[in-house]
Amino acid sequence: MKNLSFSEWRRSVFFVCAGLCFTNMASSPAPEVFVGSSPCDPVMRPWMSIPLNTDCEFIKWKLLLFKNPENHQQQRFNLTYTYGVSKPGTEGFLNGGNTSEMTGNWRVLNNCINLPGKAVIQLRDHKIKTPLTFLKFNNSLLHLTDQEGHLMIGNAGWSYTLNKMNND
Amino acid sequence: MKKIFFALLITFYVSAGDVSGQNPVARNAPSKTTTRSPIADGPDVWGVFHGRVPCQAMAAKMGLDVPSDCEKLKWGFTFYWDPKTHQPTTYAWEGSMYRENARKGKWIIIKGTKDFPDATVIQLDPDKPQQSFFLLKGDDNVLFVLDRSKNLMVGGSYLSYTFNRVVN
Repeated sequence: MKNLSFSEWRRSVFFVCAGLCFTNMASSPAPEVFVGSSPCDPVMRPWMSIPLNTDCEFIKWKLLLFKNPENHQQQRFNLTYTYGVSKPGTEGFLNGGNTSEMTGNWRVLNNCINLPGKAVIQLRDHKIKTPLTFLKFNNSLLHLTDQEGHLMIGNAGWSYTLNKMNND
Repeated sequence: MKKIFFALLITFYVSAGDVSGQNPVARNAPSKTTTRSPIADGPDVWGVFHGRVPCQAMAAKMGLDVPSDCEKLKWGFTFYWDPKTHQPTTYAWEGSMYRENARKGKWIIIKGTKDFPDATVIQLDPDKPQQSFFLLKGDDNVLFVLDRSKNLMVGGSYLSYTFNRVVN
């Protein structure tokens, strides 16, 4: 086997890295990212595995929806959420809050419920018994629904609407 | 002996019913108002909706002058209707910008937007088109702000353009 000089070795490493980066870019299109802040009421706690004895005023959501690069079909999702008590004068939490994560698969269903919206997005995670379901109003706005398909009702402070992040 | 057995059985079922009654399942329902004084109520009120929206973007859409450090607008809408016909009559818009004097006027229901031809839209001040404000009725409990072209407004990670029904 031929011994590579340092410059040959460096060039080889560069081309391998460049190739990997290019492949990665081609196979991993940027996910759609939705963000929002919702109340942390008793309906939400079991869905989000938030203990009943934890002080929780609101939940900050960051939902990433990935698509299969080959057929552009829905693939996996990643939901990161932080919950806790509001820190006065800020948009954050006292002591930083608690952060959890859900991952799984997502799919788009026809909007069969009698509400204005293009489609329904369903998130399935092995940790939760029932999927999280959102009404997709358009490409920029999702709203969480309950198990009967009604829009989740927020309060005076927060709502169950998620907004596409590039509008943030 | 049989009588005692049946008495015990009945006692067990009654007790079981009591226990389940002490653990009601959390429901998706309007939250109680956090205002100091009770909100309007009665047969002439269709509903009261509270929420917070991003200040700068909302003010720009409405042509309002707001301080540069204004982050959010806290608003409450009270919609009145004719108690017999259930036809919209007047509204009161209270909160940020309208603390001293509530904005008041007429409201009507109109049909459809470009994206949602069958949707129900609330129009405030139809008699003053330059001041008209539009809300998409998601359902009876959740309203979404529309811009002047009747497109849904998209919020961010902390605030959305959503208003939720509240009750006393």
